[in-house]
Amino acid sequence: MKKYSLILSQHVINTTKIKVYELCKNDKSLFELFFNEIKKDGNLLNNLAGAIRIVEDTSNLNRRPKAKFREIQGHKLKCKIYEAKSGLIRIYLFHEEKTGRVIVTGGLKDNQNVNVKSVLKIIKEYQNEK
Amino acid sequence: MKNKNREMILNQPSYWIEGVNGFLYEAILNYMKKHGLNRTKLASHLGISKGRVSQILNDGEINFSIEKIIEISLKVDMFPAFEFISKDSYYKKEESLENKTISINFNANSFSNFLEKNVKKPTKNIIFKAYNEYSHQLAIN
Repeated sequence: MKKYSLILSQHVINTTKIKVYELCKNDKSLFELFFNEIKKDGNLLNNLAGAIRIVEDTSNLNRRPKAKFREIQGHKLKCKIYEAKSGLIRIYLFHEEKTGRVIVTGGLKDNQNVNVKSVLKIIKEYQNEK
Repeated sequence: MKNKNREMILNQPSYWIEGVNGFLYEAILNYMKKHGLNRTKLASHLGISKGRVSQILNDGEINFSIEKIIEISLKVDMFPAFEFISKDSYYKKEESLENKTISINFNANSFSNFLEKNVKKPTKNIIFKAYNEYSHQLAIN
């Protein structure tokens, strides 16, 4: 049985021009787990909502400066990987042809390097499994 | 709202602030392109410092007073038409939009070939059929 699957995002409005999905591992959305952690803590929920708005707007083909929405370079995966940023919060997503944008998970500024490596690993596993 | 996480997102100020930042950023970029302005000329047109222009274009941080945002909007040929919508009607609007959306993924090449073969056949109905991995047809309600 496959470990990874996609669901339409429950956090981003689903009427965006490019559809936004969330990556699930064993049927659990990784981004939802991150959202729930932030929700429990409470302090960064406002930043997370800002980052979600950036994902939403860029999926509606609106532009944002690189400081807010950048393409992550320097990897060998055959897809574009993006990082949306608001305050201390980061959201990692990639573009899948014929599907749309897929949110992998979120992270904090302090753990950026570790999170990017982990996101790349997850995307690679997902693509290898297909 | 049924989707509690989405309701929480909509109730955070940053969600709306990011939206306003985005509108202004997009409007400024479009205006610069249309009028062939560089950053120096844009700063002079908007009546703000070059540093402030860089802050907007590099960081996307607006942080202006409402008065200044309105002034800038007008100078880039946009009316900043604010709208207040009650939370209840906004939730209902989002939910009705979500209920109307069906996402179907299909192979565009096969579909294109199918259309080419059947292009002259008169058609009244399009029937959607779904199959599981064992090729058993699934019911679609």
